[in-house]
Amino acid sequence: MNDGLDLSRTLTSIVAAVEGVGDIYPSGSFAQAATLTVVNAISDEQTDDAKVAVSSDGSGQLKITVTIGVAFGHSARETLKAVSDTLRAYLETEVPATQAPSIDVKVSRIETESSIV
Amino acid sequence: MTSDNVDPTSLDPERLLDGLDPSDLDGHTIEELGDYLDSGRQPRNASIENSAGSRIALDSLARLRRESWAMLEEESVADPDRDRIWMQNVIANISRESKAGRDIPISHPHPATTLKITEGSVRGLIRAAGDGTGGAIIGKVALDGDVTLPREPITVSVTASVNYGQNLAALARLLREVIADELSTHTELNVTAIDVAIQDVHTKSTATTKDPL
Repeated sequence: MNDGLDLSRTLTSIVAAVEGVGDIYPSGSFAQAATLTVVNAISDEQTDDAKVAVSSDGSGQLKITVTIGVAFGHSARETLKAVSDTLRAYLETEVPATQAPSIDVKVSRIETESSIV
Repeated sequence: MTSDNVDPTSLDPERLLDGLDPSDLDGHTIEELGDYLDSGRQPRNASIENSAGSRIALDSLARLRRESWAMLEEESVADPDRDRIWMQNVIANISRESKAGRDIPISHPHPATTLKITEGSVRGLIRAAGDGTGGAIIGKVALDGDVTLPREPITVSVTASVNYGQNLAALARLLREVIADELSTHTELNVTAIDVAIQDVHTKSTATTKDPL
């Protein structure tokens, strides 16, 4: 069992439930995502539901990185704020730490009326 | 080749895609995405579906085919070389503009929160807004200025090709309005100007010039 993977799964599920989130993309560069897929395939871990990157720096500060697509009819700006606030509320309650977690949320696609979904 | 014996497949996007850089789309080529679109996105390709850049390009390709292709094909019968070049440019631009590009910041009061929107997603938004007006196909989209700095003055530049018979001034005004509206909804960019250049007018009259009197 991997604590980071479990937390990633939980956070992925939380992000997916935020209004306006249309997609969650694996965070990090394409190469990193591809490597992660290979590593997890070898370790028999299923990571399709663990797209939020969870890491910590040398000081122990938790770093959360999320990449999302915004659903048609929702503001990217407002959805970003909703995702980050929802994650912070969860982390501050469920994962107490001496330092506030660093939360990095990026929109990499905005769906429009003509988007294919 | 005359207007009567144009190879109808010569305008297929897959035949216009040589030379594009796969690195623009997380390792996928536009040609590959065109094939994937043709297959109805079946079987599901996780690598494409998990690539935001590829998804933006798929959106643009699908819209180009669905809403705009007929307009171009009609004229291409009369002037295939010109429109083949034009379509090649549009598709090449879609490929280039779909990659993530620069990060555009969104403000948040918490010091440990960083929010951003990729330049590629914003270019895709602008392209969709312009194409959605109905009378134009967006050729190229550019954000001029340092979009990575909050409140920095930014100029949006788009080129468009339009149907014959439209009021070009009104269409340019409409394009500016829909683009400004989308950018205001989704970003905090300080847009100081939206430059619209109509580069081509697609017209049946081109065809009639080759018709016998």
